Parts: sequence; structure tokens; C-alpha cells
Amino acid sequence: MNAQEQIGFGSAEDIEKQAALWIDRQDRPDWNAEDQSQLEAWLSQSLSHSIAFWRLNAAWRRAERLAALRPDTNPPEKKKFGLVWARTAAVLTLVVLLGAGAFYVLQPQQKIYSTPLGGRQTLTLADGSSVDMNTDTTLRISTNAAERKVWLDKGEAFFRIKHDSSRPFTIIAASQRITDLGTAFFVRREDARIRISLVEGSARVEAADANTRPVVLKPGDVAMATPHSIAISRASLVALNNELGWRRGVLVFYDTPLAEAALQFDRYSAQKIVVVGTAAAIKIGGTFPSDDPVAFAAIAKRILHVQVNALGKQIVISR
Amino acid sequence: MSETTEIHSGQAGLTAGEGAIARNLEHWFVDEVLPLEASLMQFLRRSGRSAAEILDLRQEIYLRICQSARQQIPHPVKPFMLSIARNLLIDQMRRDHVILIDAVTELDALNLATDQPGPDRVAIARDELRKLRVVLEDLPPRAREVVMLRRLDGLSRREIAARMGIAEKTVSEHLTVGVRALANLLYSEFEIARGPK
Repeated sequence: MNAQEQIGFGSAEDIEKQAALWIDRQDRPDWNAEDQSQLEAWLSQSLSHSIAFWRLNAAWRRAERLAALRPDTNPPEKKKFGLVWARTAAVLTLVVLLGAGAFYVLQPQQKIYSTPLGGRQTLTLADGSSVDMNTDTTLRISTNAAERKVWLDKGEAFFRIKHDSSRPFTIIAASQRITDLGTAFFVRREDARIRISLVEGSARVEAADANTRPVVLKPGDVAMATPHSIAISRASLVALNNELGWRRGVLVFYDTPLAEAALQFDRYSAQKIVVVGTAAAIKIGGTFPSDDPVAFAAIAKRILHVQVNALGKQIVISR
Repeated sequence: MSETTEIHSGQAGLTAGEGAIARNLEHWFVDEVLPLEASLMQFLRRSGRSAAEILDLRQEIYLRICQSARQQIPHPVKPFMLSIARNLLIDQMRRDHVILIDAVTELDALNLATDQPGPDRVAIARDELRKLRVVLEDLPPRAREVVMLRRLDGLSRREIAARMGIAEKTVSEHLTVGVRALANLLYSEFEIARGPK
């Protein structure tokens, strides 16, 4: 390629101006799939377009770190909000102290928390946010003046986050990121795939692949995020609350096939339920203690007329 | 691979594999080439070209570097980049039929001078925040305000517009000016314009 060929798309200055317009457009809240494809088209016109965009985008991303320069004091109009949250945090703390959960004032360093199979734990952060950890879950928390970060290494957790725009709360699970925009939601990690169910407020989900457009979730949204894609489905808030039964130590089923119910119990106990043959498709509803697969099998036997046999550590359910 | 990975930044009709190369190209460019921009600009400014010509030259140099990096990542980058710059300047002089002996000699001298290890990205990364703060002071005032409200305070455009008493469209205008100035200050100017503070 020769020099003329490249510059055919306009002077470097023109290209840089266009790239700046794209950065601005992308920063707007109404950025959508159509905008994204227009951007792709512009970038693909010339490698020089891409380069100019990369350069400005890199500068714009670096400026994100400016948040760390922010003084700790909130601007006056945010005070009221903070007060409400302080009160909520106090209530949460009280509940946690009265309950069997643990109370943590988190230090700025990264800390690791784990629950065993069948375990459950509630963490209350210094800012009033709380994290309920479900069975067999490991997470790391790091907070400082500029940001709050949680890595969900495995398992499932329910987050109720005190929003603070100057200190974003980010959850990193596999390589996906969830940034709170004022929110209550839960996240389950299955290797590289994570499932985010939003109960209140909103949260932003980003896949590792920068080319996958981030998604902002609304209440009732359930997002399945892999490193390369984000798929959204809807769930009723009742269904989401049922899913959150684990916070009360129960599993809630509604027309749930036995095979799937068995998988749910597997997450909480070393005593596995195995459903064989056509019994797998039989549906069950109800609320069951998550740590008692034997009780579940006994109830299934009584109401569904299935066979239940103990086989070593396994509970076998069949027709 | 999912569809999203293929719609990708670089060129239309890329396969997934080429998409991955283009993505790596972006990371490589941002991590390895951009930190050398100050040295490159220093080199180009001393060629006596106009500001607009220098920007065009820089664009052309980046383009050539990225094109050859697609075949093979050059290592180390700096001498490679400066030799591209040097050859490009010589080509242009030939094309313009203005072969100035002095200019070529000057280029050779510069080549030696700029090959010395400059203030490198290790040092730059160490005080990223200090640098950002200093750079921020140099932005045009309205652009600085918009960038700070957006990035430092995390305000939405609507909030920024309300606070500054301007239209959202004007916020956008200041923001585009701010982004360009930020990139110039971060990548082109800093080491020359500012000493340690």
C-alpha cells in the first residue's frame, strides 16, 4: 500500500475528529446495536480509522482512573441518599448480628471468603452493602477509596449494593463483569458461564470480549453471560424470589422436573439424589429445606408415588 | 465462537481467527506503540513539517506498523517505528524532489538521539494518577469540566448539562474536544511539555 491510498479517507485530523465523535456517541446512554454496527462499518473502512479509534478509546479508558482522585466527601445533594443507606445498613447489621450470620468490617486489602457444601454466610461491607453467599461459594473482596470489587470464583451469591457513583461496585465472575447501578441481584457461576438475575435496580453486564455490547439489566432480567456473549431472558419476580429461597435455607420448586430438583439439591449436600428413568420428568412443587435431601425424597415418595432407595451415599428415585 | 466475537472492530468479513488477530493488534498497539508516541512526535516535529503534515505522517507510520504487525509483531518496536518514520520522511523528500542533504543528515543524527531509552512506560505507569491530574490541568477549561464530571464524578450527560447550564449536545462537543486533547496530552505531549512536578 502506498501513502496516497491511506490518506484517501481524509486527513489524519479529520479521521481523529470522526473517531472522537464515535467515542462520544458510544458514551451516551442510548447507544444501541444499530449504532454499534455503524461503528463497525466505519472502523472497517480503513485500518487508519481503527487505529485512530483505538488511540482515543485508550485515552478515554485511562481517564476512568480519574475516579480515584475524587475526594471522599460526597457532594451535598447526595447526602440524603447516603443517610438513608446508613440507616438501611444499620438495620442490616442488626439483622445479621441477631441471625447466625457473620459480620465483617472489610479492610482495604483483598479478602477471601468461602462457604462449604451446604453452607451459607452473610457478609456486610463497611459501606452498608451486603453479600449473601450460598453453598460451596468462594469470593474475594477488595475495597478502597476508588472502587469496590468482588471476584466470584465459584458458586452463587446475592448482592444488595449501596450505590455510590464515585466508588463503582464491580463483580467479576469468570471474565465477565457486572457493575452495579443501584441494585439487588444474584449471580451464579458455572465455570466460565455466569447467570445474573436482577431483583431490584439495575446493573451493567460486560463480557470479557470487548466487542460484545454491554447490557444493562432491569428487574426480572436473567442474563446468561459467557466470555463472548450475553443472552437475556425474563423471569417473574415471584420466580426470582423463589430462586432466592436459599437465603432462607430452602429450595422452592414450581412445576420443576425431579431431575432438575435433584441437581439443585446436589449443590447443597454430599448426599446425592439420582433420578432414573421416566421419573426424571415428573414435576414437583413446594418448599424444601435445602440441606435435607432425605426429607425431599420422602415427600416425593408420598405425593408422587415414586420409589425411593438408598444406595450407599446416593438416594435413588425411580418409578 | 459466538456471533458477537466475529462482528468485530477491524475489517468487514473477518473470520473469527482474523478477528482475534485484529483484537490482539489493538491491544498490542495500545500497550506497545502508543507509549512511544511522545518519542515519535519529538522525531517528527524536528523534521520541520507543519502540524497537519505531522499528524498525517503519524497516521501513516501507525498504519504501516500495524500492517506489518499483522504479519509479524516487530520487536523491539521503537527502532522499527523510527526506521519507518525515517524512511517515510526520506520517501516524501524524494517524491517532492526536495532532497535536502541537510535534512537527511539531520534525520540520521535524530535516529541516534531518539534510539536512546526514553522515559519509558514503566516510569509512566508508576505515576499514572499524577500524570492524569497534570494532564487534566492542561485541557481546555470547559472540556476539562465535562471530562471531570463524567469520569471523576461519574455524572450522566443529563446531569452534566444541568449542572453546567448547557445543552447535552454541547456536552458532547466539549467531550470530543476533551478526548482528543487527553490523547494528545497523554501520548504526544507529556514528556516534552512537562517536567516532573
